[in-house]
Amino acid sequence: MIIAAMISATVAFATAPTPQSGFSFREARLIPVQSGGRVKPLDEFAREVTLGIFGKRIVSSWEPTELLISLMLDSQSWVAEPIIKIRRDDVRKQLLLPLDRTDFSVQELMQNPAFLQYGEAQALGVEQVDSLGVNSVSKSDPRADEVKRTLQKVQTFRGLVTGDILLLQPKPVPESWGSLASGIKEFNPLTDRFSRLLKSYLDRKPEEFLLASREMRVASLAEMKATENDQRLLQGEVIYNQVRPFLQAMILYLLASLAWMLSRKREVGLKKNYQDVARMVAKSLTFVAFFLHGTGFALRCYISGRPPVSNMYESVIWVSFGVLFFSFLLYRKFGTTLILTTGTMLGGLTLFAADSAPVILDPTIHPLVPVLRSNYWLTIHVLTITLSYAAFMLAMGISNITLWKFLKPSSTAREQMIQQLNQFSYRALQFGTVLLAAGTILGGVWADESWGRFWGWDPKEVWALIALLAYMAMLHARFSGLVGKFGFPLWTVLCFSTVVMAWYGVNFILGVGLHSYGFSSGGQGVMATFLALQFGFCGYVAWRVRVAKQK
Amino acid sequence: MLRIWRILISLKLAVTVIATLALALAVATFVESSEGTKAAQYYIYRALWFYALLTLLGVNILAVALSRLPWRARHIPFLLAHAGILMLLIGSYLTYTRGLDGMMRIDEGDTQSAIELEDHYLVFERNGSVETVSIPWVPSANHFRPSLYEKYGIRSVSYIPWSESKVEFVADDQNAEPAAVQLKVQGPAFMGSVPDLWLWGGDPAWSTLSMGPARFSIVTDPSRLSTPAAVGEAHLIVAVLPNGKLRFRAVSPRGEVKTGEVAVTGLIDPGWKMPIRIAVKKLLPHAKNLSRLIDARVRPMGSSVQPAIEIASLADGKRRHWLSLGDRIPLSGPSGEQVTVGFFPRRVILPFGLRLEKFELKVYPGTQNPAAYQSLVTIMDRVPNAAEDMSKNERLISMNEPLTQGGYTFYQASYIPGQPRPTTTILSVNADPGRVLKYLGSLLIVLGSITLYAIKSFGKRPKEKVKTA
Repeated sequence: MIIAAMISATVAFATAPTPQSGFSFREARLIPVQSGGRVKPLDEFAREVTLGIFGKRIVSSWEPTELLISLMLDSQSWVAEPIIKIRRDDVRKQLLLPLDRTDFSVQELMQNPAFLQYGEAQALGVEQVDSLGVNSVSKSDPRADEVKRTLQKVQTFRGLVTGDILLLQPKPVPESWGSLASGIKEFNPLTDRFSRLLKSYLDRKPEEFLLASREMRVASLAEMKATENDQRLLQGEVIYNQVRPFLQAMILYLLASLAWMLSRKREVGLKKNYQDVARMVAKSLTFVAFFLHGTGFALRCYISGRPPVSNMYESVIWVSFGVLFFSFLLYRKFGTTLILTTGTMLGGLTLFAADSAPVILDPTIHPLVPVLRSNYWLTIHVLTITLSYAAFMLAMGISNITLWKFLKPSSTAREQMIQQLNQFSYRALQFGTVLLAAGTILGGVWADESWGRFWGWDPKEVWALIALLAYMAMLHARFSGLVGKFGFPLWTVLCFSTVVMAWYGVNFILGVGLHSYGFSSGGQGVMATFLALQFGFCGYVAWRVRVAKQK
Repeated sequence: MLRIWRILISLKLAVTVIATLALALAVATFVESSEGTKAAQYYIYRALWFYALLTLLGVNILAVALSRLPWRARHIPFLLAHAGILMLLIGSYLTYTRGLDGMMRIDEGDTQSAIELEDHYLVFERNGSVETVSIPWVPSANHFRPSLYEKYGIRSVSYIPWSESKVEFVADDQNAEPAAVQLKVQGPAFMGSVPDLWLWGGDPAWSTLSMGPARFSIVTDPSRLSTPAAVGEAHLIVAVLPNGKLRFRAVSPRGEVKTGEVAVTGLIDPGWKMPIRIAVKKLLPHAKNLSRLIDARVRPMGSSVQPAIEIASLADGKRRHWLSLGDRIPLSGPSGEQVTVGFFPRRVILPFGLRLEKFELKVYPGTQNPAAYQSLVTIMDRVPNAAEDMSKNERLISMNEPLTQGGYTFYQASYIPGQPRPTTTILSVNADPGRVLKYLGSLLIVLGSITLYAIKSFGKRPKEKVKTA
């Protein structure tokens, strides 16, 4: 038998497995498997499993599919490798694990009595007792969460090695596909093919492997009676994974931002034609990045078969797209490249945030929960609201620059610049407030259609309203002259914290209400730092302006 | 008068009201997160001062609009947006005062016409007549105002917003009370702890308990240990022996039987497939039940509140009784007649019923995650003849596809999980007289604000106008 059942007493000093040269995975990647409620290519499954064990979608130098195969074939070595991260000190203490390192092997954990006991408790369904109301539990304990996550990692590893979670025998639609494990118990031609594929990898025969992968793929597609569209979907997803359009776009946006900056720097002493070159470069970088961003977006919609409305990751990508969109609009109107510098910078940073924490912002394409399915209003509502966040983000970015200008010595040029910048962010705020008002109301329409209540004081909708009210208070204050050319950018920056709360805070900090399908945890530190820096900066500038006025 | 008018039409007031509203709402979400939805409603969303604040906002908008008389064409966007806000506020007020929002639960094959609402009622029944008194939820006993219901000779004494039963047994050897035993299931305990189990022979409600996949019982007479156990379940039956030890009989789901005797602090190995042991923590040959309702420390947000109210009959002044939501108790009225007092959620009976023909749940392939669920119902607006075909009254209610009937709208809200498939649906039922105003108001707000921004000149409002108004 090729697939070794996991034995806890394996060789302790195995060397770490490494990728092998000469193998091509272009066929193996495309093998259809079922997981998480939909059919996906093996490549995507491999990335999800990698995320489920290592906490990241790609492990350096490994092709995801090859890593998957290696984990299955060489489990005896992998089981001894420190691949599972436990970050919390208190959890390591509780599990009596060494405190001087954070990475542990599956074997170590499987031999840990406290950890095993927890696993048994989970398997026994102690939580059932909780739901019966005998033992009422309030908010989840972050330590228990960490242990649970670790347990899930070990279970994913175990499920992969036993072949339980690899579902590769197609069945008619509502049914669950047959697993590799069940195919080994009872002979199945597809699992047999897959075993041959694995064997050729083990025997280090690249040509045979490629051939076996191809046969496996063709046979699976035939078995699931795949239409051309099904095949295109699988290919599309592999391309999406390979190209990583959002990652590319992020890099290009940041480079473009730099180029836009250079194209404006007269003080640096760049000659006129250098500035023109910088401008050209910036323009093309921005264009290519935006094109990649949009294409990636379209591809993701195509793969998932729905608009990107389901989770935080998708909303971050969409907001980043919106920031660029609004900066183009403003640039068209006012023709100042500073808007594009800000837009590309914000867009790049937002994409960076989306790409850098796959555990917190899960990029996996999951099927929708029932209430989110097939609803026209919902799609419009979510896209409108998040688009308003983009406009506010752009206004925030521009206003930060305005505040920065206040630190410079007073001059006519400075005053002109400030006035101009305030005009830009005011325009962005107009887009933002209209979209947020419309989006919040559309949310009411959707809630009315789905639940029969237009407004239910649900925290997510309340925070959207708070953000709207905050901006409204500020705009009315500006209108009446209560805030001036300095107060306006200051409050624009401060008001953005209400957007942060509505967008991120409700789901990650409050964790209450009907929008529970988007709840998650993590990233509090980053968000707190961002807000602290913003408030600190505002305070500093306000103090400087005050001092300047007194003189 | 003029001064008040000046304040009412000032933008400063608008900014203050909007900012206060935003601040109040922010506080409300944190109150909800820590104290629960009901508390947030009590302190903010449904508090009088909050309505006053919204009213002030409405008055401010109205005053500003009137101050611009006579209206010109350039005022139109401003008027549209602000009229929209007024309509939205009025619509919401109508919904709050005249609307109805409840839940209907139907089992497959049953006909249901009752809706359960969120407010709670004391129900008095005497000689076949029924009267209800509303008991609004309050966040603590201190906020509760005891009252006297003279007609029935009943008074309310105290209140617990989040009740929890506290289990307590004490040794009582004077009176020949039945035995009690405290057990603790061990093995899977790490971090999440399994609560102690108390079994008491004095009351059927206490003599058998189910926990997860297992059932635990106590019998008063050791000779009755061999009474047949539940079929297909892990069942542990215990009895206290005169020598102070515990005799047990453990039956596994497959019917294997294990018997034995243990003393206090001993361990029972039931020999089930699950690797658990049961520790005998306390053994009381004669025990008095002092279990009661207490205020729960935990205020989980999503789960519904479980209030309890304490009442007493004037005719029997000393004895007080706690009623949890859903309880009822017979007491004696002023002239010794029987008065039954119940504490229930408010119910509304619709003029028609819904019969659940079939509840369907679809899951995503290869997972347990629900993809969609729907209820096939028949509208029963009269009692059908035996021969009549009611199938033309069949309607499908699914997520985002509600049913409207007789001014009420029924939404697919949830279901009660069941094996092998769920057969109980939960519909959300709603009647909203403010809906039209709210939709119209929303439309005006969006239209108004778009035109407001589109027309630039509005920003240059002549200042003198305000002073002359």
